[in-house]
Amino acid sequence: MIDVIIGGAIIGAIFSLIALGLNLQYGVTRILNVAHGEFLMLGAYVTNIFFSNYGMNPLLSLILSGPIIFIIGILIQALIFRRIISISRSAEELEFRSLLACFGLLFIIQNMVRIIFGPMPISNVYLTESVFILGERFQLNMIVSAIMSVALSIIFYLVLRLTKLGLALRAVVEEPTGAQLLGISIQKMHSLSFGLGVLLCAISGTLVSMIYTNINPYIGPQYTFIALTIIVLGGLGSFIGSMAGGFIIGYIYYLSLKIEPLIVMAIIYLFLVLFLIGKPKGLFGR
Amino acid sequence: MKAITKMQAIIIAVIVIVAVVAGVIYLFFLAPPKVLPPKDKVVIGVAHTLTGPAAAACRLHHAYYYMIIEDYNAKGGLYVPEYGKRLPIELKEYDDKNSIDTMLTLVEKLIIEDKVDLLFAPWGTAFNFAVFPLTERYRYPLVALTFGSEIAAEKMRRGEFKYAFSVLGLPSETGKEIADLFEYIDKRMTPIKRVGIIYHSDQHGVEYSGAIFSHLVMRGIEVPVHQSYPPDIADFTPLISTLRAANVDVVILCGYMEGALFVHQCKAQNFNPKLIFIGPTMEVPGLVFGPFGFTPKDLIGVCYYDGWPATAYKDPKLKAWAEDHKRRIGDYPFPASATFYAGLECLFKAVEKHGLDRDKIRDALVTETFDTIVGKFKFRQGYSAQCELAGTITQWQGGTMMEVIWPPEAASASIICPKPAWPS
Repeated sequence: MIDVIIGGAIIGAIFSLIALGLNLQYGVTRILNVAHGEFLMLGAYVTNIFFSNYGMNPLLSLILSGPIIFIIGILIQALIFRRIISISRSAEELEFRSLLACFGLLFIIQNMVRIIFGPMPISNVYLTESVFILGERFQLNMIVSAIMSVALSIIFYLVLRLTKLGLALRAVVEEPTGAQLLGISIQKMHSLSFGLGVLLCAISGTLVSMIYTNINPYIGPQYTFIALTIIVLGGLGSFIGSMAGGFIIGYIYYLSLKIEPLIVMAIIYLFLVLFLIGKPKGLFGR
Repeated sequence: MKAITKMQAIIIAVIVIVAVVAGVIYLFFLAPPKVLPPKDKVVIGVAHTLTGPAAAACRLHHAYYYMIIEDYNAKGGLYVPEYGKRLPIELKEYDDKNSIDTMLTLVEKLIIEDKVDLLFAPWGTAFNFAVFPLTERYRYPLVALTFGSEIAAEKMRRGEFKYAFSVLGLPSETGKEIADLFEYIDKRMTPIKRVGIIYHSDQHGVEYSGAIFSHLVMRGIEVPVHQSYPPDIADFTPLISTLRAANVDVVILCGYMEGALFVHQCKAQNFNPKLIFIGPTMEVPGLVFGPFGFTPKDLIGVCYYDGWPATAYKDPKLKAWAEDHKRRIGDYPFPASATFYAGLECLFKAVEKHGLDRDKIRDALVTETFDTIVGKFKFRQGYSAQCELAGTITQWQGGTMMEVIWPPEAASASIICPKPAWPS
């Protein structure tokens, strides 16, 4: 029982962080970034440059890889999505155009990584020793990843709630026209939210690559599907929804692995469908 | 109707005889010799996985395509007897993007449009299974490196896949060898009464786990856990709990790269059965000591079941080959590396003896025994190839290459069982 409570929480925490970035991007910019998992993969690869070439601790390497990935996110937003946002006449048109652009981005990132790094898998396996929690053994890297995921989510929540920047971001989500009238630069908020979304995803990539040994240029979509499931369950654009959705999916995932591993995804989607019949906007959707 | 006279009959007979004799003289003495089309190279086609999730495994297993071409081109190319000289080999390569449909289209393009002289096989059991009917139709002999299917082997034995040749073993052969090994260990070393099998839900996983399960049960070994898992599994901890609760002596994982996560998590959970068997990719030194993050000490006692025929690299000739492999590819070979190379050598040796007539090549591959880097090598359609320096099961024993531990007559080292405790 203890292993289910803690094991599910570990997976849930990591899933939450993966979903958080996607939800932020969608909430602020209405861009459903289906290339989200590719940024996770990119984060793992950038970390690997420091880990395998300089033996740098993957967690410490975030100090270097974080800003690099954040800048990549800002540049992508400026080069691709700024124009799409400016020419779209409605939210629906923006969603449709950006979705197509994201699909393109997915293949571009995949192929660029394939060309630069080759098809061989990489990993940043770290902290593989075990620790005891309430009499159960767990891998230290999973525990550290889960704690970091929760800590980052809380910091992010506090930034959103307690700072002017957070207030501005929330204002853009809830009332973009009013926010503009108050002098908030929508364009800056869009860039920032996209960059932050990419950064959060890339950090989760670093954490995932400390645990898993098969990081390759094509792992992105599986994480995008998980993130999409979580934000739909939690409610599109809702921070608390992302957190709660991540933990719910984490527990379902862990329990399914115990009961019938082969149909894990089927169980998750069945749950999602049944849940959405009762609550179409998700847990915290408006 | 008026009957012909005797004289007329003689004249007709003479005319016929003269015509036949003239024809024979023309054919054998006067006709210009058959002119071969000019040819300055031998083109070999291959459609395999260069992008997509399986690209890494394909690159590892098919490194021998490039290696053997490089080796032959270094000595001037492939000797083609009908031209009486060596011709350089060119590889025409397409990316099937890990899609069977794309692979089939590309192989047909290689045959019809590019008119390649020979074909190399695609990567993976399911892909080879799909391409065999096509190569059969166009009569291209195909040496499949990464293939092990009981269903396809049965078709080979029935003569439905006459042009297909397999290097690796079949699931039933692997199952029997594992059961033999466990019986041997049970009688002479330590009891093996209960085995847990978990498998990746694809053709390889289903066929191998099924065959191993059947052989173990037939020998009276209990299999309390026989469970599949999803390809993108994120955590083996629940399955490890199940295996621990079932009190199994040995665990067999029929899967690929996720085997590394399983071993890491067994170590973290301090779950230490007497033996752990892991499927393809955990036998590749370049992976296990690279991205998988293991040290040789971590893996002592971990076995590989699909190395049929696994090669003992302690043989002096193969030891030199292994060093050359490290120099050229960057890593030491995995158990089946030399066998893969030898399988391709057979194809090239058949061409050097019989020319580019694909039916003759096929007949040679069926009937002849070839001298290769692993010694005498012979294909057996519907069964694994026979080679001189072969074993069936390998084990990590602390070195940078695996040791052959089974069968005893081919072993390069004694069996380590039970495996030692995980290093701290």
